[in-house]
Amino acid sequence: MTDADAVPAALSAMFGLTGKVALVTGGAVGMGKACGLVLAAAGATVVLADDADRIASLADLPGTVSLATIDITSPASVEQVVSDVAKAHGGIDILINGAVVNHNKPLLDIDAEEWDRVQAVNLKGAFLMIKAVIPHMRNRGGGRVINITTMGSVHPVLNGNGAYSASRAGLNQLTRNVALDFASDQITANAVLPGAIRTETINPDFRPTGPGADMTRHVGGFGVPEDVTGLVLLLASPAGRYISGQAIAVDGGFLIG
Amino acid sequence: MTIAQDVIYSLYTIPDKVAIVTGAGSGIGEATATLMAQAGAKVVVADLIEEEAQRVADAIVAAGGQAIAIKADVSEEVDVQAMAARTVETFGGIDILVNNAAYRPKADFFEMAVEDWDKMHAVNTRGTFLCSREAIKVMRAQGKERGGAIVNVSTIGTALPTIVNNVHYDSSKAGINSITKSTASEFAADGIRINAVMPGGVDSGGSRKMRADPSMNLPMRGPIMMPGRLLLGVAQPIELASAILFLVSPASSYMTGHIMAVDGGYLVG
Repeated sequence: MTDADAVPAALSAMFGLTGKVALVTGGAVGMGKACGLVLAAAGATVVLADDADRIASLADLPGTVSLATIDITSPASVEQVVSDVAKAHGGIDILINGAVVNHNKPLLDIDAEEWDRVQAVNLKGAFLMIKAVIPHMRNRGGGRVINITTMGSVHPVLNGNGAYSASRAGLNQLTRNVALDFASDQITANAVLPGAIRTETINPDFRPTGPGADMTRHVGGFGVPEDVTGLVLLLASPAGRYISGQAIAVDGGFLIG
Repeated sequence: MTIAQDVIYSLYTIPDKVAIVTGAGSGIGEATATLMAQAGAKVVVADLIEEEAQRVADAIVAAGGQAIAIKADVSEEVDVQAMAARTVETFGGIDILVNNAAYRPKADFFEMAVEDWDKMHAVNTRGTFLCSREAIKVMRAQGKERGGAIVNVSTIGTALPTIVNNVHYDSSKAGINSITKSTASEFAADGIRINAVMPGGVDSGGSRKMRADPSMNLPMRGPIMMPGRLLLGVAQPIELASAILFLVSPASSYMTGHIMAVDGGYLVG
């Protein structure tokens, strides 16, 4: 095989998303955006949902990609966006929970409100999205829920990451419960655990401490947002039908070490 | 050409890569060898049963792919060395190895002969070691830029015991999980990625053989394996093959040392 023209029909059927509708939160930046664009390239109709200012920064998107402003901590906003997307595109097949607030601060310096804010975006927001989207997936006879969490959800990677890691660990377990509760609806749920992936939302002056700051444990060095897209497309595609309830690390080998 | 073909080509095809698939005469191995050939690889179809290996290789060639059949007992070092040498001689290197060959007869814990225990570990664990060693020698010599990818086929029984009379099998496969992580760590610097899959219920050649053999007709379900645990039913071999293709393709270039369950939700059920 020397070029894309030669891709056999079997592979296109396996990994293609023609006719599918995907909603991606955190869709304007980093891994959410990268995943949304790959799903679109695979044939899906994609809606990238994010904060208004981030949405405003997007330009030159493919014709099958549209935008939505969302506040995932607000049930009303979530329900409105999900309902609008389902109405505009006839349903929803794929949900990518990519929205996240990165947070790194010593636990003793965090008050209850700050803790709650981290959990509201990183855990409650994903719950609200799942709750709103699953009825639409049921109408379509199945669906795929893909939650982007972090390798820090299974291993304490950086100092001062307690609130963040706990929120993401909660989402890992929510993933497993969604996999259990909705398997009979042919809905799968999986978590993707990125390692040290550089995105534009990470402050370049951020100097972490802890084992995750030691880049020698990441055998591939820093990753880029595109590194998770191959796994996300697998999980979203027909080829991913039998994978559910998993937390899959895309971490350059960090968790071995 | 559709747009979808473009992204599928760049993520999931493996043009001109040389792939060895052991136990490729049936089931998951056959599906994997066939899919890899469709994805552009030159495939070595290795199996203990020569006729089955030849049948699969012939089918790949008849469909326009590239493949040769090699008879190999993966527990025998001379066989494995000869397989690696013939692969290099025929196709000019080794880029991909799928350690899929497995021995699987069940045995009662108390009545099991030590020879049964040893044979299980000889095929599954030593076989994975021997094949990995020969492949990694070649991959290292090819240089870091070319690198390589290995996928080991484990079982969900290593994470959660599934059936009775299977202690020796689960033990041998747990060894494979350990080999996966150790080799991933040791050879990452050489650009070699090593991951594993843990299949759940698969309608494979091995499981069909087990069901057909009256001497294997021991209880399939222990106290833990409730029928409802396979939340998404039983998989076809191609569903494991597509996960294995993912793990050797550019789509997983930042993954190594991961043991991925492809189990229809068994481990959450």
